[in-house]
Amino acid sequence: MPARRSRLSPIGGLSRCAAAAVLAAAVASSAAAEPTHEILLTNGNTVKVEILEENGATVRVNLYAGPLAAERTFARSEIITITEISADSTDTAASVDADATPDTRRGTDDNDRPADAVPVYAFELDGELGWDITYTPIKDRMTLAREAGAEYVIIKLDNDRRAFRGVDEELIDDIGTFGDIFAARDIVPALTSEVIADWDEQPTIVIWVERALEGVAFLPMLKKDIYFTSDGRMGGIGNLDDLYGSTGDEVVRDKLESANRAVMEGFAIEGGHDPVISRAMAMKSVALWYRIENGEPVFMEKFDNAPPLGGGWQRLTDTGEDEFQDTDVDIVRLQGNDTLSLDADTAFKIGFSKGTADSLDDLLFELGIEDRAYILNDKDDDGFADDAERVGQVWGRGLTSALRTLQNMERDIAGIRVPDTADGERRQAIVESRTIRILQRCVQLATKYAEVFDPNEAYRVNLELRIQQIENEQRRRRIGGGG
Amino acid sequence: MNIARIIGFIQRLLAAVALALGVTLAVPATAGAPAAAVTAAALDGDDVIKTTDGRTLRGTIVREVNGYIWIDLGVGDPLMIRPDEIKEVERDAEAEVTSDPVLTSSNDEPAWERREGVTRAAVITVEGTVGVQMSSKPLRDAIPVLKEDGVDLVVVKVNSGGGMIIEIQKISDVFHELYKDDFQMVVWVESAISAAAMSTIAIEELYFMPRANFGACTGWFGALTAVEGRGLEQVLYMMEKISARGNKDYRIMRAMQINEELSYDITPDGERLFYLSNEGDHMLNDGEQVLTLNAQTAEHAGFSQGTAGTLEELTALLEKSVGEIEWVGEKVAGEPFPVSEAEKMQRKWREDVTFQEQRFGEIYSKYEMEIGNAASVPVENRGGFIRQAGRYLQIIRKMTEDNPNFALIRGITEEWFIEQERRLRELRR
Repeated sequence: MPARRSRLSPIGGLSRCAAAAVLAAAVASSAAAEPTHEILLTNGNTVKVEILEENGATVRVNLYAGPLAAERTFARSEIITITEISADSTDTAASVDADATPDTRRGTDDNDRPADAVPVYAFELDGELGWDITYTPIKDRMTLAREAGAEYVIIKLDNDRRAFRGVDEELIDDIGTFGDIFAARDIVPALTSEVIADWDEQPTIVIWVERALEGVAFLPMLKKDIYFTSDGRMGGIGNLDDLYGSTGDEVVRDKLESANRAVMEGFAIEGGHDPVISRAMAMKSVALWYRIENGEPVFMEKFDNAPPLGGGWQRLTDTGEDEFQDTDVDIVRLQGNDTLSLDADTAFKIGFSKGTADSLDDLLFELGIEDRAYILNDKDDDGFADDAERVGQVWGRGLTSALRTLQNMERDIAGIRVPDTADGERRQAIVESRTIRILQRCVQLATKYAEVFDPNEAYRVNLELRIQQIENEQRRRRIGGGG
Repeated sequence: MNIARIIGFIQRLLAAVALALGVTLAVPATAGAPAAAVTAAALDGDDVIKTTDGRTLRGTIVREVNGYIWIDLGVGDPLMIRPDEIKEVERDAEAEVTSDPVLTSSNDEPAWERREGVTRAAVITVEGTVGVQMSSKPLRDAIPVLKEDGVDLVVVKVNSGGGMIIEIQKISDVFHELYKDDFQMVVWVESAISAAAMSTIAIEELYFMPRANFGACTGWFGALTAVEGRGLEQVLYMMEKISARGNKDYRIMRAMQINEELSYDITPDGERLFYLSNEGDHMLNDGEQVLTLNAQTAEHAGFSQGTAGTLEELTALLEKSVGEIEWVGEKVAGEPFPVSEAEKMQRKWREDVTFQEQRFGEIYSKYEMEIGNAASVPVENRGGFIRQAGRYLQIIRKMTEDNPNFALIRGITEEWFIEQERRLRELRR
């Protein structure tokens, strides 16, 4: 039965002309408006503004200086408080806003939303774990979902490496390293404890797996409501048994493996899954079988390749020893079974996933809300919230640009040009001051993207020390010291 | 700016000059008042903000919003200091703060009222590296604050990947010898690995979060080298005693420390009998691994009293034994439980030592850099470099005083400081 896509908002049907007219009206309105709020900034300044648009990351405002106003966007991190100027002016602003709400689908839709509508906020996590898929952009998207009033948050997982490396390659399922669990673990609060703390009404978080490979495969385990696409794959976590190789004493390796195993089991228990599934996904030493008893999957965990006693057992994994070792033929086709890699069919059979859906419509149908779902913030009609997509784009672009700046730092410093007319002392001063500017810019970027580039701050410290050394040289010259 | 302000500014200016010259100046304090010696360290009527980067700002606090503080230094606009820049605030000025202060003054009346039959409970968190962020000191310091808040039940929420062996006994002592006298104690495990598990096992009642883990207590150093011989025996013995404090069978901890088999039976009355062999019905460790419990295995083995992912779930479990619970603390955005004053102390401690840990290398390098700079210029020009080096040395000393374990990790001893003072003296000659 084909699923119906429920679209309660008419704004998607607005023509470009109509939209432009509405936008023009909005600009005119804002020009005539008064400041409604005062924003106290982290630089100590207080500014009078009219708020045009807010999201989890930014606040877009008309900034007032006397009778003049100009549009400006502040990052949330720049803002200490936002205070309404007065009740009267707020009323005025409210009426202005009501007249000029052209471009927020939610604002328009809210008026038409039936009482039984189920607000759904969907976003996709694609790209690479630890780069595109990392704590801050996920937390920002969850904040947007909360602010949009979502009851369902659908997170589609489709990780790959293409976004980062420009290589059009599929991930294959034996190249992950178990150590990626640490990158995944950093993300966990954004999907668990922070949701519990921040949301008044807990949303249903649905994980929709197209590709959840390597470290990203840990994330679906956290949730009960998992769906796969027909070609969905989850696994390739790597082998915990080999994580520490032959380094050090065996009992210490046992300790570390034990701690990591328990962390991984905790992911599965958190989501209400049998932790044996996570063990089979990450440990070649586990041979996992299952059979259906009274309509429910029952698992048998073994440490050799002999079938369990009794009938009806289906092999999920073997120990990869001798003739059971996966071949390249298996691996490149995502069909290895030394560790557990789930496809849609297997995930459903063993009760890990609740169903299979190839489109958002299908998924809403599977969730039983296809006739009530209200897709939030999706003007481009691709099924995913537009603002969530922007978060991903801005984060990705910012990272790429920051990486380029950091990589080019030495070249930029070496390439500082000074006018030939400047004398020796002046030339040196110019070079030093420009070098400091470049280094300071790099400090800013290393701090902003520390979770990706510089989690231990070592890089930033190095830059700070270089700045200090230049300043020391300047001081030394000023007081006439020798080298 | 009124006359008093101007005089205050001049005083501060002169004091700063005095400090720079290393002398004390005598200036008239205010018109009509007797002359008094004034130094930068002793200006009555000043508020003092010590910043995390080592600065000491003296002036008048004129505004506070959400932890941000504006201080009037007597010249120019008031300077705004962000909460993460503030190490300490000492208030002395009489000037009124113009917006809602964040830190409210205490008074003698408790801000709470005891309700008959209701248990007052507080969550305090222990996190980070044992011996650094997770330390006995802030826990001990929090006891009077918990008493002031009328707390009956303390929930210790633990999330730590382990740390220093030497801190295990200290934390265990604080819980067993101090906390248990005054409070009912509960551990709420998010993650307790190694030294974190060994410290908190001294508490009898444990609850696990669904993704919790507890164990992996093998001692090691360097390149994954195990503690062996007498050192290992000492730790095994220590843990037998600490396990007894928490009414836990010592065999459980032993299987968490070394490769020992561990199994158990459940008696008809629900008691768990543990064996360091495979003779029990339920195997926990096969002897080839080191034991770490998860929420399921911990509950089945009777090691935890239940599993709770949220404060509401924990409350429901606890209320079975203690009745109605009132949680002490204020609701803070993003926090899954009310944050009490005692909990604020734990967070402050962690913030400070984390900052120190992260910045030590930077500060030490800057210190050495200033020493090098001083050595490279004629003696008469070294003053600024030596003073700056002295400031960094003070910061290093403060770090080691705040957390003695920090000095231990870095190998910084009193002798080291004496040697540094000698280096600075040498440079002045």
